[in-house]
Amino acid sequence: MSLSEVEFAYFFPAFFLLYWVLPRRAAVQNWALCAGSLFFYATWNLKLVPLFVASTLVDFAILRGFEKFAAPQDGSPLPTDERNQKRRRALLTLGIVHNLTALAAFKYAGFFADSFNQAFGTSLPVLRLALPVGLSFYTMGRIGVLIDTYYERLTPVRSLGVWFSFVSFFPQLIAGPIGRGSELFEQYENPRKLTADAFLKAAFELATGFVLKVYIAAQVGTELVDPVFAAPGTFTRKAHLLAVVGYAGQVFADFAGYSLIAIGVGRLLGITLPDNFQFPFLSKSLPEVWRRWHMTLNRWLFDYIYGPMVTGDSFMRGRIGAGFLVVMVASGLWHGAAFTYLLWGLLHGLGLLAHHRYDLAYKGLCRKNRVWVERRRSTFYQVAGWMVTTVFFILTLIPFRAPTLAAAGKFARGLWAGGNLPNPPGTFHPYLALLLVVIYHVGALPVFEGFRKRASATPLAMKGLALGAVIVFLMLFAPVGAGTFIYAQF
Amino acid sequence: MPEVESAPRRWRDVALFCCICVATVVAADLGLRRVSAPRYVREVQDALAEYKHEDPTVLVLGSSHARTFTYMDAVARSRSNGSTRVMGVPLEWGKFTSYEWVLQERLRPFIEEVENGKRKRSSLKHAILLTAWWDACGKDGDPPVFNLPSRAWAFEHFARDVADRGVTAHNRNYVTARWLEHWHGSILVSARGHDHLVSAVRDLVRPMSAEGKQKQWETHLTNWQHLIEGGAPTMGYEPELAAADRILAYFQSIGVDVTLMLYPLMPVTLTDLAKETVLRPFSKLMRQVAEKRGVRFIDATFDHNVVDSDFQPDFDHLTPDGHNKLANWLLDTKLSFLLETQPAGGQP
Repeated sequence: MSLSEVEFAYFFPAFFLLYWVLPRRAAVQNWALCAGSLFFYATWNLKLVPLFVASTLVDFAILRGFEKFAAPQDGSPLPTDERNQKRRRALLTLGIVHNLTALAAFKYAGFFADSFNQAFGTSLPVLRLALPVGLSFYTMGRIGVLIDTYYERLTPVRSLGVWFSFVSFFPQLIAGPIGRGSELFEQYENPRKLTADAFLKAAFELATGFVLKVYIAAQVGTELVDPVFAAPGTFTRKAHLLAVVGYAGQVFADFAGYSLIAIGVGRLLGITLPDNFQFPFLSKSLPEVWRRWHMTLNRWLFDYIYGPMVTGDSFMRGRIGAGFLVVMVASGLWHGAAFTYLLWGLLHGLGLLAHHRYDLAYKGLCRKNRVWVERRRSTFYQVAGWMVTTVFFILTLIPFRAPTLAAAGKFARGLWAGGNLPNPPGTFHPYLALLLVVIYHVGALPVFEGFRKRASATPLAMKGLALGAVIVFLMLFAPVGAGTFIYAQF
Repeated sequence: MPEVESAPRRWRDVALFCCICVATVVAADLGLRRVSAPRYVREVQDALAEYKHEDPTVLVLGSSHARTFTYMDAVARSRSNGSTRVMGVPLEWGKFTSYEWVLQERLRPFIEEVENGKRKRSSLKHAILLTAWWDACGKDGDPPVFNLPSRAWAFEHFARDVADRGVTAHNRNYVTARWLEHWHGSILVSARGHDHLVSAVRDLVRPMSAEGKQKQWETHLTNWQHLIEGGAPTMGYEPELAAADRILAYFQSIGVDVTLMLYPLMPVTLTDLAKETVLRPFSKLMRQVAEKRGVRFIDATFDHNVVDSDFQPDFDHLTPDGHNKLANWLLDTKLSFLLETQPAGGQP
């Protein structure tokens, strides 16, 4: 089951009613969420439910262990404290290894065995296991809590209901947003209530999410993107350009839309999930892209990999550039076990490294002469920064979308040389969809703040009319089967 | 969009918001129904629902073409004073393998249902397997027929498949079809995935010229002709032929008179190339299948009374008048034996 597919239209209203009819006690609400989430998970793969439950219980036991073996106070000479510290470290290691082993076995074993066989002509057995849905997402959420609890940034969770709700919460189970214990545990520990404001906000998020997901992503994908990526090099340069620009719009609309739907559904259940996208195509530098695009993944990567790596005691200490490379390669591999994702991550790592060097050099200039500070604030500089960032981001999507490195190369050549085949004939919808992506971003510029205020102050009756019109539009023009979700595969 | 602060709302506001939203959708739906009304066509589920209360003398299993036999039922009942009752079971876009699934999983329990030690429905005398060239086409690796979950599955089949594979694009068709059923009165829901509503709205806003319509018709015709011609390389797919054979064998095993019939096709869509490479080879194949089992074979592909204007703009289905015209003609000629009180007996 996916949040944007028809079966959810049966599941959610029933669950929503049950959830709010039940007594407003945190424990009751949590176990209702757990039951609903397990049902949701089981619709993807019933056979993997025991594995999911077992691994959740193992992590819970580890978290309880952190409480049992309290962390020593700084400088404590007591031998029990030292023993506790060793036990805590062992528990953390166990937790991380246990989670990463599942990830490695299901997601990467096949890829590495395949690659090894190809490189060395061996015939290692290649595992082809069904990937548990949302594995990459919930593994990160769990590891984050284990690390935060170990370092005492988080109080060890006491309730199994809270832990299970955090891990399995169905709106974010398949594709995030990747929540943190620090922002979600408190919500699960307290009874939830639904306010009229939250309801209206959720309605707005759901409407925006559905337009992005089932109209924009679907229309752009089927007409502009898929045919050209299926036969790279055969279409004209213009078709290649439209395909890669279209893909940028598609992958944004697909994931940002799904995230908004997840956030809206979460809000309807009284849970506020973190934002995942913040108008990424307004970014004027690569680091800004990663603060605006798939925000919860990137803050996880930077907080739990990059931060400890470049500030810890290892040889990586202070090697900021190398840290960028490692973290972006990890991001690439997180998206999938394939060389195309590896290349994508590498390109972004190099991009961040180049930006870091450039930034250092520029700051040097600023220190020498304040005129460089002013230049950086100029419209020309901002526009140039936006253009370079956007072009780089879009071009690097070629290996991200292409099935193989060879296909990516062929597509890149097509972008340069092009073939003879014109764009397949189609409708105006993909172009309207791309225009909506542009409007969505442009509308968030500070210059339109007055307009946003006026829109926000529109009477609710008008907003109801607008939502009704959006629903009618989607029913008329969203393609059937548009609920299929690109990011579910990651 | 970035948030803008506003005063807290009350649930009364939410109720107003929701009412206006729903009213907008309902108003749009009612308005659009005037442009293009929802279309109802008989499906497997309708036939199964009828079968519960019926005891047909003739069972017709086939694709959407089997809908002609619903019209024939009315004609046959009136001509025979109710002694000939025809049950058409149409599986849209079906093939022999999917007809076999419908027969074994959905129809057989009705056919063989026993009450007080006897068959509950004892009138069945004739079975017709209705086919067209498409049914014998296929290749290894073809996706499963989506029409089975949407049009023929019961909840148990869906639940079993989900327990086995989880919710997939294939079994999701079952849920989608149920969703459409629940909202069948809404044109916005029932027209999803079809072009007719949007086309009707477009025609209303900016009507197409006569030349434009003619050009569109010609393009559609050419595409349809190519579709038929394209059947040649995949014609005679063994698993489909084997399924056809098993269907005939089953009907023979329960002692009914069996007919394998090729349905009429719209004359203008049949090019010489299609006739030579697809339709005649298909007829030959089907004759062999029928002869192997010793069942009656009727080929109405070219030999029928309907003309181009009796077909709908989709080039495949008859209009209601076309159905009636064909049903009457078939009962007068090729299928006159259905009106006889005794089975005519299988003969090739």
